[in-house]
Amino acid sequence: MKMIDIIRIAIGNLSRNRLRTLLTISGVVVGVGAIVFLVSLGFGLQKLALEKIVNLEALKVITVSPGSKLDVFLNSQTAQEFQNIENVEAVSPVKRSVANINIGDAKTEQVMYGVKPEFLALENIKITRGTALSGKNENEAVVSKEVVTNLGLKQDILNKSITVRTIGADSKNIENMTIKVVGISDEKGVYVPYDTIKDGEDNLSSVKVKVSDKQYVPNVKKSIESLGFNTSVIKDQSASVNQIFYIIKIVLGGFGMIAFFVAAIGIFNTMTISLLERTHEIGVMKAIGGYDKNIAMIFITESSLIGLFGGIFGLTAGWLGGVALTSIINLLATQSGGEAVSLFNIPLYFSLGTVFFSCFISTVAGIWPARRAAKLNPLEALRYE
Amino acid sequence: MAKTPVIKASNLSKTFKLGKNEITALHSVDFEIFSGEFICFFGPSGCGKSTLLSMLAGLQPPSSGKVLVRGKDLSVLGKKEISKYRRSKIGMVFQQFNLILSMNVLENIALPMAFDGVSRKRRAQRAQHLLSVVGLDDKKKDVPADLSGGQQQRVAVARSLINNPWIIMADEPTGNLDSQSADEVMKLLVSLSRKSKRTVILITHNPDYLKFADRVFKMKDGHILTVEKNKKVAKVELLDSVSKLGTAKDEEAEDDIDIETDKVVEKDEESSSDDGTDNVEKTEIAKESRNDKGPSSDEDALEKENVEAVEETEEVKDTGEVSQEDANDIEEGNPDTIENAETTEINKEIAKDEESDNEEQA
Repeated sequence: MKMIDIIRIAIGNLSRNRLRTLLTISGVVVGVGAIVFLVSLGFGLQKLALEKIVNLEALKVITVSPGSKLDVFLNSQTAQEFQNIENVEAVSPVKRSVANINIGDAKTEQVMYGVKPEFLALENIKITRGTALSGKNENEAVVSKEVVTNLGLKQDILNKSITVRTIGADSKNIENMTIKVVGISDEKGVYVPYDTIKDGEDNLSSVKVKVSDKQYVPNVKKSIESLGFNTSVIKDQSASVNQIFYIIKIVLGGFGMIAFFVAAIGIFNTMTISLLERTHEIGVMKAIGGYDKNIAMIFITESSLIGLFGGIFGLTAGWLGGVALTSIINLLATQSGGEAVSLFNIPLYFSLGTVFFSCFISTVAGIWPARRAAKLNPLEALRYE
Repeated sequence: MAKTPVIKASNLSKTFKLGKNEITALHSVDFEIFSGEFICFFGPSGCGKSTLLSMLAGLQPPSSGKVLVRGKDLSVLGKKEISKYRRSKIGMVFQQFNLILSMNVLENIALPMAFDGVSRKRRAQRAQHLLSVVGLDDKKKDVPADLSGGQQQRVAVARSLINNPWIIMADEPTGNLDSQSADEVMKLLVSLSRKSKRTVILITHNPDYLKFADRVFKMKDGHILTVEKNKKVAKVELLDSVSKLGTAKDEEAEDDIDIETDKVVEKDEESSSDDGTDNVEKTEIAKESRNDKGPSSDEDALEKENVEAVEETEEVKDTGEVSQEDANDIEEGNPDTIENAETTEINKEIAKDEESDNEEQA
């Protein structure tokens, strides 16, 4: 018998008792919807956490610091050599100095970094107000909120000038300069253009090396270490975050599974009742020459169709639930000045997997009634009213 | 030529267990039914006639004894083969009509063909054709619930004919019908026997119908008491539409050019004439095309019968009324060869069966 005919008969049977079919499908919709809603919440939170906790750009950066070997120096020349290592995208040398900062009567001591303009992006230093370093002007700085607090200032120092007194590593090269604050950042310290720190010797406190992709980090790191430098990278925490969310998703999915399990029992129930109702008809089909396999296939197809429709509608319902909840939360969040976030995330493989899973479990739920239908004695089935 | 029975029951018994008691529904019955005969099994309720029919139809195995259909023991058939036997070698008509309520008339008639995996278009053509045979052309989209009992039973008869079986088995087909509908259904069955030369086995407890039968098996308490030959079967106005079963196939075949065997049929139709030699040739062509699918000894035997029978086609053609003697004279396979198209149609069906069988096995 052709599959298309089996499907046609199955749909005919399902539409014969529409209310029952709809209720059974609704059960599956609730089950699948619950799974999709909860697990996609897990996916969404995971994505959010990964974005917040682990900046993917920061993971590509290797911090190189001078090694213990006395004959190896970290200077602008070695920094240039790093540029030649394979897969290195950018190299940003960092000079470090201690600075006394004054504005009016207020004063504080801070670590001052001389960096290239691209460094801020490399380090993922976010400018909350103002602008980043332009690289064109030597006398500009990005300072942290902390500096402002330490200065004990009440007025805004953005776009104001501060007096900076730098002290070189050897306590010599003391220099005074007036610098304009162009931006305020979240990070600690004071960032000024690389050339602003005039240090007699060509010594770098560190060099930031950015590789083109996260996967090249270990190799580049090894190459730099072989030159005699120390390196450090931000620990990639995505693995542990993913692991935590893996468990969270399983727990959330587990709750949904309970609902889905009940739905599967519903399908089983519906198919068994359907079997009883259609016993006579099965007898007729067998008497006019239907194969046992045909009868079984009709039943199996009916239960898988319930699973298919339930899966599709459940997926839609779960997705809509997520969209609705996200809108409500974001509405409340933006009203109270927060940031709008995407709480739900349904990967395509998960969507397809859910529909397939729903279909599969429904098919399994239909196997027993189908086998019973196939095994019915045609004569007894014909007598059954 | 010695007559071979279409159906032969030997020493057929059926015993049921009802609680602790054993009930024998049928006591070692023996009989033979020949091609083209109209047979009545007559007896009161509980005499075992329905049990007997269900065994002939392969719906239940006998407790002992054998049912041989064209020499083939039904008990040796596997589950699939017995399903195929029910689907294509016999047509069943029940007292309860037994139509599938969720399907329309056309789908109901075509259902056995659907089990074979025949295309929807072809099924619809065949079903439509049979609807015109039973005179219900305008009801094809109706569901059984919209039809009267008589109409439903005619649909059931059409369904039994879908695979062009040799044998029609009807179990109290008029039991649930008013007298007028009952007459219509009886007229149809008698026409199938006399015009289309099919073997009809009728189970009834209505003595009015005995007059149509070639032979009447009277039963009581699980025994066949007497077998009566009707010297003169009752005359009845036969349905002209039934002759479409043979001739109208030609028109039908023209639309069927998608299957290889059909092409052969169509080609033959164009060149066909009324003489016997042409018929033989046609059968051989059909045979050739069938052999491609893999020969079977059983069908080869049928083939020979067909070829032999074709030569006698003229004699038996259009015999509106058949006396007992005539019926006995009808050779094996005659019903299938009475119309040329019918012969090739059957060969085609066999080829198709084999095809679908191969598919099933695959």
